[in-house]
Amino acid sequence: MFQYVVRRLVYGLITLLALSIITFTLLQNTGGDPLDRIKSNPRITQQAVQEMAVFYGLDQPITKQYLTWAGNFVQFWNYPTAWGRSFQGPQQVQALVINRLGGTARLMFTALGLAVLIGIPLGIYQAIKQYSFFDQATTTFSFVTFSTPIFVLGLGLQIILALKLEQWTGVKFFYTSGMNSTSYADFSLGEKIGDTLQHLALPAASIALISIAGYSRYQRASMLEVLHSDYLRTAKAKGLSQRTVIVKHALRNALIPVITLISLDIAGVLGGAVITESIFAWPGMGRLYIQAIGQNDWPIVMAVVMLIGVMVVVMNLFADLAYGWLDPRVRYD
Amino acid sequence: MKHLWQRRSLTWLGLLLAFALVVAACGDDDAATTTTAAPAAATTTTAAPATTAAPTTTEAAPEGKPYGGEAIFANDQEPPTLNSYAPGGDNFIVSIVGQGYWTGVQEIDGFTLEIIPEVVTELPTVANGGITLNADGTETIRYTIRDEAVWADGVPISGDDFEFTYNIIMDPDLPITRTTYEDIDPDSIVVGPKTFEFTLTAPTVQAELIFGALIPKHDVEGSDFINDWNDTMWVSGGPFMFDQWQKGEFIRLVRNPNYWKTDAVTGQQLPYLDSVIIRFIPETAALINAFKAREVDVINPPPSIETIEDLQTLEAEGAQIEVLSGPIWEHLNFQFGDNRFERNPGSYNEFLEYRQAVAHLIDKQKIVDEILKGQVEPLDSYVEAFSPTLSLGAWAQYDYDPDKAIALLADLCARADTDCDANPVSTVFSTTSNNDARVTLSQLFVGMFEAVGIVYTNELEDSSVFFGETLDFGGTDLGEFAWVGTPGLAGLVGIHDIFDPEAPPPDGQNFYRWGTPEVTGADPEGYNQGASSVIDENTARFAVIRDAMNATVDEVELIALMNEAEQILADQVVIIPLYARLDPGAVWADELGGFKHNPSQAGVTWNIEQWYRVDL
Repeated sequence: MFQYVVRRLVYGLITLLALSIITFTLLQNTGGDPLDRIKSNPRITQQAVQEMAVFYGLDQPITKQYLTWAGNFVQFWNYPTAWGRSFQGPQQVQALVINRLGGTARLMFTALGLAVLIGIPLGIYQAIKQYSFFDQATTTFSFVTFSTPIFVLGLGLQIILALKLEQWTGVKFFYTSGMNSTSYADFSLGEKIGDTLQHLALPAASIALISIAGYSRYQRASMLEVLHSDYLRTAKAKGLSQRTVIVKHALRNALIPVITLISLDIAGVLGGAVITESIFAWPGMGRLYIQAIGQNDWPIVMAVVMLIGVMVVVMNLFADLAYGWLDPRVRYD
Repeated sequence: MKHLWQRRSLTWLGLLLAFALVVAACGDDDAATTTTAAPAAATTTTAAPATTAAPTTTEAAPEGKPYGGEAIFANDQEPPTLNSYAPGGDNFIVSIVGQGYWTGVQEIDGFTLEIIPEVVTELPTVANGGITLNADGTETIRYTIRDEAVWADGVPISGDDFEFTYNIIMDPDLPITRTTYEDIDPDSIVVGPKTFEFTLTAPTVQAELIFGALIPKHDVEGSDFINDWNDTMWVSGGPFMFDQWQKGEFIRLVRNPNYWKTDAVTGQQLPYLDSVIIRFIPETAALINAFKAREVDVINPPPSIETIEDLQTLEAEGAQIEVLSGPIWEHLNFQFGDNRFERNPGSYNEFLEYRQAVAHLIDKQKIVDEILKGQVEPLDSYVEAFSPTLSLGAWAQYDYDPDKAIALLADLCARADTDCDANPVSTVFSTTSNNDARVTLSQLFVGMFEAVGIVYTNELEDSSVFFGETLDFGGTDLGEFAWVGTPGLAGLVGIHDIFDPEAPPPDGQNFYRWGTPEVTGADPEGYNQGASSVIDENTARFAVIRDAMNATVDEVELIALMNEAEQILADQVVIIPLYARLDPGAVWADELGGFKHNPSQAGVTWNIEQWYRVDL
């Protein structure tokens, strides 16, 4: 087991190295120059452009830029300078990224939590009640939410539940944007919790609705496969109760494929939700990431990609270890 | 590089963004917060500001506007830094926020769009003795600082602050753009308690834009200037003080109790509001929804017609929507460098008849009607985007007349000795593909060009490509993009640099390569190409005019030179100005008073000290 973990970690490091090289190479070849905005000033001198290039390290050969970045990136404890400066200003990338982690974690874990807590039981119940009216109705709902673009869903919720609902009732239930009210610091604890929920509800619901559809479909399919297996038929024939059959024998095996899905979703949490965060003005990693891409701000893009990469490696390992716990047949050689 | 620019800090406005290229196309709550304490009481013995005591709580002023309350302005961008001199400080939103706490020599009046004095008693001119043209060809400028001008901590704004600002800008170890400041003779600086004097090596109208954001010596001296002032701000000289930056969400400014200005009409001390919040909402739809839900009081949304029409439906509910012609002016441009032949081997750009034909075949009114729903008039000159009163309207000579265009094309074929029936004249049009208005424009052009027999092709590109290699290397045949106009003579003089025949890229900004010489030895290779297809007496004269404009501060002479330059550019059809983009501003007027939208780089917060709550 220990050797397996070490081996997987070594593979993970190689994967991350490859990821950094590929991402860096792609970013260098996407067109545009981080200094384009500065160069476009008719009155800017070549000397001034050169000074900016030196300030950002862009005067160095590409290979050296990469090696400098990589050397500094791994020394993440040198906060906040380890990951370099953003090209849009003098701000340190590490500080920018860490500032956004809290917002992203709040949104994504809430959405993921809702999706898991609702989607998995829903999928199990759909499988148990296969072809019932409930199964048909929730399946239809799943297909509708799953096929709705998130910006339509997000804006729709914003208009109906934040705008119209207030107009109809005269009561503000939800806010259209932001993570908290600007006067949040002056609120009492109860008001803070209420304010947080009023801001969090719509963006979290936008993501969760789509994820619930996905999880429930996965779980339903997985559960159905297990329910039709021979060992479960044997369990039923032995006279075990329906509850014991489902919870003790079926669910454990039916969860294995879903565990993979959840693991990968957790890995993706750090990347934030680009569209949802933009629609709801949520201060998360997704917004930072997409803005950085549009501005050729590769130190930020590299930092976010590498963080996601690290999470994918770790969560994949976690998922594989979880298989062993869920399925005793799995051995780590 | 989307949305650019500013106001009270006209420093960078003059230096960096006079004509910035427009690309129309980027846990723990406490941990993400930067907060400063209110400045300590004045520690020096100074004359008290000539203002009344500052109100600190919500109270009504007799016969005046009410004090107190908060206003929330929402913008689609967040500043990368609060320091206008730091890299990234030239971004428009930096100055939008900075209006609250910066002070400097000049500001833009949102009503007249003229440059007016702020911290100085008057803008220096030859007539008022503030400018002296010396016999040795140098120019001496003298500022007199207003007696009542103090920083928020009560320390008087002095000549030392001007000198300190100059020294910071000129520090060779700091990555700061120094244009114009480099022309100051450091030995000529004379500092007084309320005066500052310096000499420029040559007269230049660009001097009217310097020292737009002063740096307080007593607060900043000894700090790490580039790293210490990104998330927080030095002591305020403006109506508000920086208070808090919740990254990704908002910046809060609070009243400066020592602000030294009073309302010229009511005599009340400014500002009226206790605080101002600047919120960041990147998505236009979300920005509009937040406004509709009255979660924000003021917005300056991107100028799409759909957005404007949507907002105008709110006027019955108390919103005030002001749609003005903004400073961003779109124009067609002909490429005169060799690389245009890679785009269109049959390019006729060097022929005046062809350019005139294009000017006549374009129905600008139809373009404005389709793209801007007729909310503004087409441009007859780029000067209209800077100082409309100075414009000759020189492109008005090219009325929409397809028959004239056909006749001109026939002349062209005869002069070029070409059988245009066998080899019809062709045009390849390039602009950014991720801008809806430009895409619509390209579609409108299809019918207009084909109506006169030109074989027309659209080759649109993503803005990162178009404003990258394509523009740098002159890879267009007929191109279209925008520049930003700036109020004042300095901006108008500066825009002519982009036509300077002596300034081809990479060192210069004449992207059109009109009259430019051969370029060799540049890196990357794409810059290297032969001399312009058009080098004649007009380009030579223009180069002389451009140099003359940059060597005088005589207003009469400047205007004459600018008029001549405008006429040459129009007669030679180097460009074809199309229209200025709309600039909408929206406010809930039943909640917030004193707001006046400003379409210039001054931005919507230009008179933030005059805003007051109507509903108090």
